[in-house]
Amino acid sequence: MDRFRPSYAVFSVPGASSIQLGQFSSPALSDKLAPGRSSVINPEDPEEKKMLFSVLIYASEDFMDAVSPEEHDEIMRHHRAFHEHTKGSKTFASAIKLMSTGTAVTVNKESDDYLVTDGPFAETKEQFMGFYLIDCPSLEEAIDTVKLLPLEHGRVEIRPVEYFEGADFKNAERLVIDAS
Amino acid sequence: MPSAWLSTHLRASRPRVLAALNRAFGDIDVAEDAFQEASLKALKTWQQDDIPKDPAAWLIVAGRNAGIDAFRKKRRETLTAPEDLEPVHDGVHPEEELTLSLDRSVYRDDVLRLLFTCCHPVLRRDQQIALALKIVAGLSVDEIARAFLVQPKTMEQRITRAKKRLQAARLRYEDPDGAERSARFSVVANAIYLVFNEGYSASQGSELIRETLCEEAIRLARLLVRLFPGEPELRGLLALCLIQHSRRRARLSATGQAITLEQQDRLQWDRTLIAEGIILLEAALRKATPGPLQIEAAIAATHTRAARYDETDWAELDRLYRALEIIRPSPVVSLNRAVVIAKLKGPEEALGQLEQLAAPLERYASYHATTAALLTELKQFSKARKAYEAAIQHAGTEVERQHICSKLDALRSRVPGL
Repeated sequence: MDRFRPSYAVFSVPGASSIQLGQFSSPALSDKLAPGRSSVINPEDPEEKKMLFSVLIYASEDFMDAVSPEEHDEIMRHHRAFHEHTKGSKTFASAIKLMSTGTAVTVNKESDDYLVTDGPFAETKEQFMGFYLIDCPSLEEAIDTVKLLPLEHGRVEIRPVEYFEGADFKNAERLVIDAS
Repeated sequence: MPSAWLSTHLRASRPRVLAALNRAFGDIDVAEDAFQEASLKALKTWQQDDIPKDPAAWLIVAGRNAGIDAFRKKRRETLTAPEDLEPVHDGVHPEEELTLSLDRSVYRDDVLRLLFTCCHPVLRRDQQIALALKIVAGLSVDEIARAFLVQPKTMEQRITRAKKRLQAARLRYEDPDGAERSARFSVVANAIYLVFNEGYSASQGSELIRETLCEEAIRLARLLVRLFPGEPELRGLLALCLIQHSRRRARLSATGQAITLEQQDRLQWDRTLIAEGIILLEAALRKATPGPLQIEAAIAATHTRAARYDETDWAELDRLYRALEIIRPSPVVSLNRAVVIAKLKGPEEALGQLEQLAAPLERYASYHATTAALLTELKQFSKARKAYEAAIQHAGTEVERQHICSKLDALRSRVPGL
């Protein structure tokens, strides 16, 4: 049961690599994926054209609960390859594995009341917009903190993180990448 | 490898598909046969790169059709199938339209009904466990028999009798009202905890098969928590199982000896499982509707908070055991509380509590072993020896017996001529 259920959200940051999807009509995949290789899009200023991408992973928890240790290793092999590639090409920013949806609570606001419901946010009418990572001592505090958000216009799901890998966000210098 | 992934899909879909088929046919046996047929068809039809988007829905369609075929064979000449049992369109990927019509709440109730059937109070505990493992988790009769150290034939009979008993009880399933529903949750949660405990508590059977029981129990608990996130006792159940399971590597020595909480290497506890267990418990406790499983999970969580045994928060444990004594009184709970009282107020006070439990726990090895340990602390060695001997006499498993024997040996070497 200590299996690593891979539901990461992985972000890429500016680095040495310059993979930029959507810029070429049909480049060879091997070209794009060669680590450290530059398929630079804007020779004048490659850094400026960098874009952060979130990679959101969806999978069935019923299925992930049923995989054998061997199958789990097989899944993790792909994740390790992803880590190796993105770290080698300095596109890696962070990896986040969320805990099961069983741990989730959802917070919303109706008129002036905050409503905390158990379970993940499961509607399909709304779309995933973005997320914060916050470091709180308890679920209770996390719930209080998210009440600062404009919950009139949406809901937030709070899901604890099981595994985090990335820059030391508590001590590192602030980095802002604003695509707008 | 392809066939392995296919069977994982079958395993993952099993509870949902069986639950739906059980509702359609109103009979577990028919539902199991239909699932079997659907699985065979899937193994023939599915390709590695072309597994249906919703394998469970595909299997439900195939299972329904297989069940209807069987139904028609039985009554071929006389009757056509009832209207609502018309075969569903059975193309390459027929599941998509069905997926739309499968309301999530129907599915939730299906699974609850299936689990409640398997864990029904008319069944004995060992029957509940066997049925849940066989029908919902899909373990083979051989596997279950090995877990319980009985012949496969004996286990087969146990399962057959359980099914007969269910039929004889002519169970009916109206939509349960609030109170009824919550009673069902409690029955189901307890049965899943029994499955977990069967795997967890001391070892008969091979370690591998015991671990399978724990993992199947956790898988069922996870499924239930996903379906009913608003039920705090289900989250408590999952939290309890995860926190107990986190100690699995620290609980037995390389030679298979039991290692007590006091002696365990806490660095070997699985922190990932503990973290998930604790957050589940916190989420459950927000509801402020305490139940026995939540309290037991809180007790387990309290132990994980201490980096060393002697840093254990005994006062908190005393409060939790007291709560458990009120909400679900039992002599075993009182025994555990006596151990905590010994830490807080000393062995004499604890022995006084134990005396009141002598009658109900006469045949319970832990009772005598606890008494013996307290008597040893008080230097009443010959009484302690007698208590250890009683404990050995009532030990339920070889691991437990050996553990108590080693305690007695330690006492003997400490007090020569005892």
